[in-house]
Amino acid sequence: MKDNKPILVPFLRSSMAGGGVSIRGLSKSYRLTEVIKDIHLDIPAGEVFGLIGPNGAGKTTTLKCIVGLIRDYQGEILIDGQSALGSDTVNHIGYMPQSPRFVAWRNVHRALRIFGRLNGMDLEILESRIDEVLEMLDIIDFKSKPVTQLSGGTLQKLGFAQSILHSPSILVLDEPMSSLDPQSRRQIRGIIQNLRERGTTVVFSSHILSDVQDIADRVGIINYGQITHLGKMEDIKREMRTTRLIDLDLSLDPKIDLASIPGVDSVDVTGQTSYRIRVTDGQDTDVVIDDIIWKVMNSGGSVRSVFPVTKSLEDVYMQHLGGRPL
Amino acid sequence: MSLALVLLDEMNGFYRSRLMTVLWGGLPIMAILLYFLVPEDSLAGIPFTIFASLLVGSIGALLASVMLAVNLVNEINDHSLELFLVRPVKRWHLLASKLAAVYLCVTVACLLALAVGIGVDVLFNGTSLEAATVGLGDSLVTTMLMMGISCSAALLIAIFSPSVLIAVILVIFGANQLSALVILPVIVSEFSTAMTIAVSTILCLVMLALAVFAFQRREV
Repeated sequence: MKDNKPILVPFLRSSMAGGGVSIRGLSKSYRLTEVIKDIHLDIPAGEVFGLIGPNGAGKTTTLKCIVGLIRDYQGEILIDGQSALGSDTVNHIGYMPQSPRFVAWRNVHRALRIFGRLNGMDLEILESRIDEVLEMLDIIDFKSKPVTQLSGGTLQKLGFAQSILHSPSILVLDEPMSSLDPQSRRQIRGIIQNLRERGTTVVFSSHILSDVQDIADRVGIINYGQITHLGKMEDIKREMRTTRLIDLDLSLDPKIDLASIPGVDSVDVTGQTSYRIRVTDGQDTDVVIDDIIWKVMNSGGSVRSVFPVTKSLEDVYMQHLGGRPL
Repeated sequence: MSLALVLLDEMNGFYRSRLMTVLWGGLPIMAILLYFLVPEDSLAGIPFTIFASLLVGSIGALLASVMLAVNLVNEINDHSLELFLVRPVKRWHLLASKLAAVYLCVTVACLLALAVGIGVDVLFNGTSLEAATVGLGDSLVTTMLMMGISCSAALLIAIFSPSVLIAVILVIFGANQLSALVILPVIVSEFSTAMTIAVSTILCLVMLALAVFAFQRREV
């Protein structure tokens, strides 16, 4: 299990550590369709930022604007204070597309070598770096294999390998774990966490919410080309814990009016003796639970179980998808 | 620096491609077959070498332009070009390297075929080497110009084509017809070879400039 080992990611250039991304009023239209609408976003250096949203929400377009693949847009993108459209920033960025593709005649080694050379890497350093990156991703055995003979997962890893090969200060990953098995996903997560510790800024899109939860410092939810929610992962996790819903199951139901208990907003019957209770906004859920238990017991009933319903990241995500843009 | 790197990389790719192997073997074989299959009296006094050169050249121009267009459209459509564009590489370097690589590889194939044609003419026909190479320079220039025009047009077509099929159709029926401009001196007596070279070169440069301009703006 390589993913438990510390992963060495040496920086080849001292200037590379720490590059932030600043997006100001980014809009992009295709003919009459506006796919990105006035996005403002600041990603400080060394942060891992996750961009989540449904298909067609504008994640890939936003990432392509950041790396300069889309150049015809309104607004401004600054990479470490310099325009993303300038030529100075391009060597500091590593990009992994959603489905990395390589020209058919190349093998893994040749594919990585040309990219490293184009990034200005010295041939000797490049050769050892290729081995290091391939070993890190457990695909060293495929080094001389033609890219046409690689599986989808290995191609995905090769796509990741070329993005980190030149030790960029900003790493932009479009669905980096979409076609990987759980072990490989864990491996990539480990590498991203290691890169963060070394000061690399990582911007990634994903629809695998558990991956986002594990590695992102901050999350942006994008829908219809607008960021509808932006928050620290800690805050989202807190939001997941704070709930206004209580599931109550009674072993002896006294048939009292639960809605009359102070702090209870509404009561849904979910079974013969079970209820889902919504707590009124501003009320402490724990206090309301105490009141419910007390009222039930005093009325001759008994409680089998009572617990607050915690949200999943998916619940938070779904809730914010319909939210108003920031 | 990046131009040299991408050019070497493209050359490597074309050199390794199966199509190029077929071409390097196929065109010389075609030159030999031409010698045995085309009756001497049907050449109407044109030396066999010139005839073979024109035929091989026109086939070379067609193949080079189709290869170029297919290669570029494929790389744009499957997004493999993206990984180059996010690196410090000028877009025109990518176009220039593809053009140069195809042009050079097909030129080598054509020259090989011509050398074989001359050899066959000298060996089997008893033609002297001097006689076999009369007018060869002109026909080589014609071949180079035809390839230049069709390849420049193919690049321009590839940048705008949504699919390989459309690109191939447009290249065959557009770019290659355009390259026939080179044989104007034969048809129009007032049109000198020098004028043809000038017009063809200007046409190539204009199409290449348009291709570079369009590629700078194209989203891939």
